[in-house]
Amino acid sequence: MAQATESEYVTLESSDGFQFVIHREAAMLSGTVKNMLSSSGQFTETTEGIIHFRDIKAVILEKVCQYWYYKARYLNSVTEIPHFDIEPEYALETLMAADFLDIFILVHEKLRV
Amino acid sequence: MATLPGRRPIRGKIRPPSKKAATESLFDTSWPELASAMTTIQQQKANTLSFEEVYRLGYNMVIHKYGEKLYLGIQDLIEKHLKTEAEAKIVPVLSIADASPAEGVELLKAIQRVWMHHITCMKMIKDILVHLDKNYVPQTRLPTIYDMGLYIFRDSIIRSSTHPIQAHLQLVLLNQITQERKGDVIDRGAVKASTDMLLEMKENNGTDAVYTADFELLFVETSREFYRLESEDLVRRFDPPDYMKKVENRLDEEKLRCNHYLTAKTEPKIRLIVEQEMIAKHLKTIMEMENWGLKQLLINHRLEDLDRMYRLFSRVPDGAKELQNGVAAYINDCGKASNAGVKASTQESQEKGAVPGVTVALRWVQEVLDLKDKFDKVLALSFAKDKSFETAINAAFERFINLNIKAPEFMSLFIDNKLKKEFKGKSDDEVDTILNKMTTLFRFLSDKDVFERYYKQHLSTRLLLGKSVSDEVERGMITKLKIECGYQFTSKLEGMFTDMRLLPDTMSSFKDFLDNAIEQPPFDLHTTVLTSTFWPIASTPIPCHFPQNFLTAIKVFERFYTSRHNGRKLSWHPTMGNVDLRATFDSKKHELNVSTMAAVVLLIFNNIPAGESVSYTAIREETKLPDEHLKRTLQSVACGKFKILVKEPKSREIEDTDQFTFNAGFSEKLTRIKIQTIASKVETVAELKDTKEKVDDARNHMAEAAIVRVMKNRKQLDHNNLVAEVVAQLQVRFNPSLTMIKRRIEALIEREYLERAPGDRKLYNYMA
Repeated sequence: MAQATESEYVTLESSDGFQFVIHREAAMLSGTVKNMLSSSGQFTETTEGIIHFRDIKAVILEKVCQYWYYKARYLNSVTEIPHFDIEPEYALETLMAADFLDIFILVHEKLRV
Repeated sequence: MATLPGRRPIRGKIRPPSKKAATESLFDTSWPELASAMTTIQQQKANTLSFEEVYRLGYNMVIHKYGEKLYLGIQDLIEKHLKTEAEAKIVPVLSIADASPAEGVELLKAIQRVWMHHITCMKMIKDILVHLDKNYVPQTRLPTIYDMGLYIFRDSIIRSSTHPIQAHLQLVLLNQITQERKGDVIDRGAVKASTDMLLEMKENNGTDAVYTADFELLFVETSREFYRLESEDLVRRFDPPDYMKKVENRLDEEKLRCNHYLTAKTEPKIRLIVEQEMIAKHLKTIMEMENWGLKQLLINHRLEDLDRMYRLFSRVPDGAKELQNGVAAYINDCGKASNAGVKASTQESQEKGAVPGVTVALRWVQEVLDLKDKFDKVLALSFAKDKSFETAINAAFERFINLNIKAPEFMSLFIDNKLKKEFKGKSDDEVDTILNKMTTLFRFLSDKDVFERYYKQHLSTRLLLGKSVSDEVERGMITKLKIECGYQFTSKLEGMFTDMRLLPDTMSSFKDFLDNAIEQPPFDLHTTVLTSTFWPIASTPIPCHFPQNFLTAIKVFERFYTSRHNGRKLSWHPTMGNVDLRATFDSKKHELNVSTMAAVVLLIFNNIPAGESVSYTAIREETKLPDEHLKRTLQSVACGKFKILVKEPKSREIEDTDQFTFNAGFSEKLTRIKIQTIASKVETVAELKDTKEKVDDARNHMAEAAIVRVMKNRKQLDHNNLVAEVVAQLQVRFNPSLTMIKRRIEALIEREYLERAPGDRKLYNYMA
């Protein structure tokens, strides 16, 4: 069995078939992703290293990925933190995705819609 | 919000109502899917599932308000699953456990397997249904999914109402422990896994482990029974030392057991059981056992066993107290034996008509010291220097020491003996240890003033006769007493030293004085000038008629002394000095060193023609010495080792009708002979009475002084408080009796130092 746990990256697939290959560490900022990859049950996600989000469109997933990297970059940073912009037309869907993925995107003070 | 007008329609598209229609059937379609996923997990085939898929199902159900249905559904699912598990995997093993206790481990293992699997499943289910835990559970105060899983396990397997799993599990666990207690090797791992499981499961309140109710209570009870039987058996079969070793082993074992496969929380409970059953219930039996009970251990100095006894007994309430009482009783017995020894030898010597010797005193003190040494060691090595034991031991010593009314005298005699003889050639350290020990014994004395009186007596003899081994040691002892009792106690003793220190000075000025004096004493005069209040001497010297040349010498010295110290009065005591006489016998000349009184007696014979005898009454007439002193003096020169006088008739005692002749035929190898008067010894009954009177007198004085001190300070005080304060002041020196204090108060009222307050007879006023 190909142990994806050893890989530094993880592949996320959107409902419309786009794939995002991102750092495992960044993706683990989501509680849901973290559970998927580290649960004791050896689910298909763990073995294959691909997570298929059937409810999240590519535009939104891209935004989420951007946010993960933004968060990872400025976590514990002492320098000035720039704003993270979300286009209003995607705002609601992004928030729903955030809830599904268990990310506390809402409470981020630098968030600008 | 700065947005472009053109973008508004996009927002309108994502309105919630559009989904509502779809949700009607959401549960009905999603639930079977989710349920089958759960079953897959329980079948250990999770790797065929997509986490995202299952999670999404659960997530959607929760956000569409199917939380309750989902929760109940899952609960039902798990319950059913566990019931089948129990029937398939655990119930068949129950009969094995019934058949043979040794096979019981199989049951433990079976339960363990189901448990482990269940835990793993629950962890996955919890991860998947995380949304349920976060959004549904908090509103309802239900247990989280994972906890719910543990409760179901508890209720449908451990406490199953259909299968007697609980009883079997308990039985197996207890059997295993009993087997290990009996020395068998058991599968600790299996037991530990089971207890861990019971610890993991909680009661409905979420904090108390099932372990407490389902196992610990039973364990503690059966252990009590086990140890009750065992201790009864062991006490019968083993000596206390061996029994105590076994108890100690048991305590260690139980502690290890708790650490290894029970829980640390059980340790104090099981320890209490062992302590109660094995120690507390058998305290008396262990201590009073004929063979190797406390007494034998003490006699044989079994420090290690005593230490074990101390450690074990201290664990239980009253244990230490019992042991202390036992030890104190033993000390009391030993002390009583010593005291009885003293009494016996005193009686014996009294029957013979002799005065009880110093040896009795020395032996008694040595016995007490040895006993104290022994218990110091026991205290340090066996009782961990426990303060309460120290107090108990000291109290016991105090009790029996003060039962011997001669204790103060004996102790002083002991020190006297040491300072006169035995300290010769000893190192400073050795001397110091002995003196320190004596100081400790001194601390036990209640009649410290009586001791002071004797000590003064003995010290004065040592100083005047120059018998002390070293001045430094003497001072060292005084310092120790001073530390114990304060300046007041030793001021007179120190005064004695001051007098002795001034002596060489006085004598050298006397020599200078004589160089210029017209009148010279007829012989070399050496005078010791003493301050009468410091020394234990009667204020009026005993009457003695000195020969003429003595009187001449006295006159010369008095002239010298009054010229230097105006207004001081000298009185001459023949009891304490000594004289060198040159005596001519038939064969050769001897130099005799005798007491002043003996010299006075012997000089009479200068005026008697050789060979003629002098009667006792004549000597008494000539010297004016009181009978008691004269008899003792004559005894030393006529009945002792060196017979300078011959007594007629020959006997040991001097009678009024005796005749004395100068023994011209006396011969001895040595030229210089020292004739000693009878040395310090234990007092006779008459002397004892005399001392007691003096002591009582001194005590009355001290009590009155204390009363006046208190009243002067307070001006007005009621009876009880006055007595209390006076007792506090006097206790350092002796134990005052209340009647004595009352009598002193009355005496002071009579002499108008105090008066009763008018109106209130219990109140005293100080009269300035």
